[in-house]
Amino acid sequence: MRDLVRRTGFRLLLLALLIFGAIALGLSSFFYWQTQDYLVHQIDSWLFREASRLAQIEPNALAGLLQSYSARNIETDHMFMLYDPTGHQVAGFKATLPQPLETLDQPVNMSAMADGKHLRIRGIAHRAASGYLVIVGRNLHELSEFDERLARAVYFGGIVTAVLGLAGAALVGLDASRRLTAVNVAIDRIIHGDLQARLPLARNSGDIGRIAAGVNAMLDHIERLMLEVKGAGDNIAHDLRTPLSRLLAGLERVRRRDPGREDYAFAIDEAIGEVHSILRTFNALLRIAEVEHLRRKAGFITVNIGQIAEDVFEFYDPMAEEKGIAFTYTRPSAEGPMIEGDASLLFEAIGNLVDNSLKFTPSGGEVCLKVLATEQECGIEVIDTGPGIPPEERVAVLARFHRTEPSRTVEGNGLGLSLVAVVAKLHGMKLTIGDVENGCSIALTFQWQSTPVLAVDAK
Amino acid sequence: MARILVVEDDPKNADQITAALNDYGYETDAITTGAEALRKATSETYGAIVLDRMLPGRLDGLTVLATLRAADIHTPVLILSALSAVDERIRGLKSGGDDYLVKPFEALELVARLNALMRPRHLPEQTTTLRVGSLEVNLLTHGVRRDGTLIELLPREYRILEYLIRHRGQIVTRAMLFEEIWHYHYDKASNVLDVHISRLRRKVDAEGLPTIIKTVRGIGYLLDDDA
Repeated sequence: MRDLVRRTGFRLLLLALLIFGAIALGLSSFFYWQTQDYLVHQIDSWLFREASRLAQIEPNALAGLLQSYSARNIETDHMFMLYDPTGHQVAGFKATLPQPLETLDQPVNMSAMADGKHLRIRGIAHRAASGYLVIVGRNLHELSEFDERLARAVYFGGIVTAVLGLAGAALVGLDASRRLTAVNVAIDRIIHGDLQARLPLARNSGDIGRIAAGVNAMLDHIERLMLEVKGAGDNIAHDLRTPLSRLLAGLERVRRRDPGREDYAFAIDEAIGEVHSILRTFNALLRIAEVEHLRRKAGFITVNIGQIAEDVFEFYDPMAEEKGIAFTYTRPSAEGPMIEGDASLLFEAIGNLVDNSLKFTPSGGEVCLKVLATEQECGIEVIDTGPGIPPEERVAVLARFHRTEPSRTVEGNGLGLSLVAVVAKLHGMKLTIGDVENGCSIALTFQWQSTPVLAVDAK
Repeated sequence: MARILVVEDDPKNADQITAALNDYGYETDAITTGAEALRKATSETYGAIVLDRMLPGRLDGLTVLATLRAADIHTPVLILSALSAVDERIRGLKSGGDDYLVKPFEALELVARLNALMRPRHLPEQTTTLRVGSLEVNLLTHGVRRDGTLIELLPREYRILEYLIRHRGQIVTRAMLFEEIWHYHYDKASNVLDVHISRLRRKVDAEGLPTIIKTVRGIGYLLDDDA
């Protein structure tokens, strides 16, 4: 029971019941007051009428008239009474002198005794010139009866409403409680690691249903993220195991043999090299996380993509030549496009794309770095004659540590494109991986919205 | 050799930094707070200051630096920071820092940068030609000769060579060289820089001549006439 009282549904309905009761009570009071007022008014007009009629009749004649009235009206509610100046009743309805009598010629509530019974009267008293007192009155038992009936109606109505209301509230509360229990059970399962569990969705379940649907959508997202994190974790473990086992093997080898001083130096250098490679992977990973969480827009300045691309080209040109790859750079027709950005990050992103292309394009192939500048977009495109990225892997390659099958034998940590992707996102740029005839094309583009930073000549 | 003031609140980091600097022949004073740093730096003479950006208390690294510069103390300052974002780097250098190194770093990188900071800043004004052994670089015409033979260099190759020759006898790390010549920060620069250097080397060390640009394994390059 105490549990039920704590349920929101129950409490809400109880509150509604209280408010409804208060309103009903107010409304009944208002009706009561209005009706009462009307009835008293009716009585009072009759009293005035009769009193003024009787006031014009001589006391002696009045006595006679009242004698006949009282003989007829003794059982009715309409009363006429005549008292002499000493307060002794002369004629009319038999009763003790009604009290109070301070106010004359105005209807007031009085009380008197008749036949040993208490009488409540609304009456008007008039003192004639002779000192005789004429009282016209109406028995108020009609009004009392009305009061009683109304009170009874309010009382029983109230009890019925309360019982029905409480029962309804209990029903709703129990229903809500049942549904919430189901939700709680599901939440418990999720807390205990069952990430596939979802909150129950009853039909027409209103607010709870909407919240449950929202939570379920959130759980879907969290589950996806968890899988991604797990995937990344597995990849980190896998990627670091290789250099770590090489490191271990190298150290064990030198321990096993009977090395000279030079062998030791060589082994130490090798070990340093492996640790460097592990650190590089960690640094690349941290770098991506850093860029990803960056609110670096604050540090953005207007940069020339053409200039940055040219710097990347110049930096990588000797490397391409060493590898026997024809590396070309296509300048924009006019001044390079200007965007708001971070030059170092853009250099890093474009550099990573060129680095990948040069790495995977076989000797004798071609790599082309193009600056794009049209009215719709600007950016760069790297086209190569390498193995390309199969369409089904084009989203996956952006994930950390993903490496396409042919790339497994090439040195690298599978983080390059992830970095490009986060830099692109930070700059509001689009990363598009596409096909070209025997090769691959990756474009990093910025769509001009209504207001380009600077107008671009796109002849 | 010059003394170096190391301001670093993390004792492990401070130990590593002082150990590395001692290995390379520097004496060090290690302290942990900004207030101490100000007191030391204003009362004693140091060749350089290694200043951690994040310090406990009210005086953080950048405040210490700004106060020193305002007090007209121009000891070279290398800022250490866990923040690598470019605008952080710019803020660090704008506050009067001479170089900025992001943690974690290699000891040799720190030493090489300190060496660069502490070498005499300006050559005599009348110097127009720099010589290392048989290599001769004309700073005005950008003409380069080895044993009197003119060597044709691309503009960027010339700038690399000039930077190396200005730092002759000192290790120049790959990061230092890349930042100086290309003005970007790029973690993947190493392999590509090696290609640039080997092409420069091929031009400068003509057949039969001893190698003048040496590779320091794992860290950078050293230009020296001592073949």
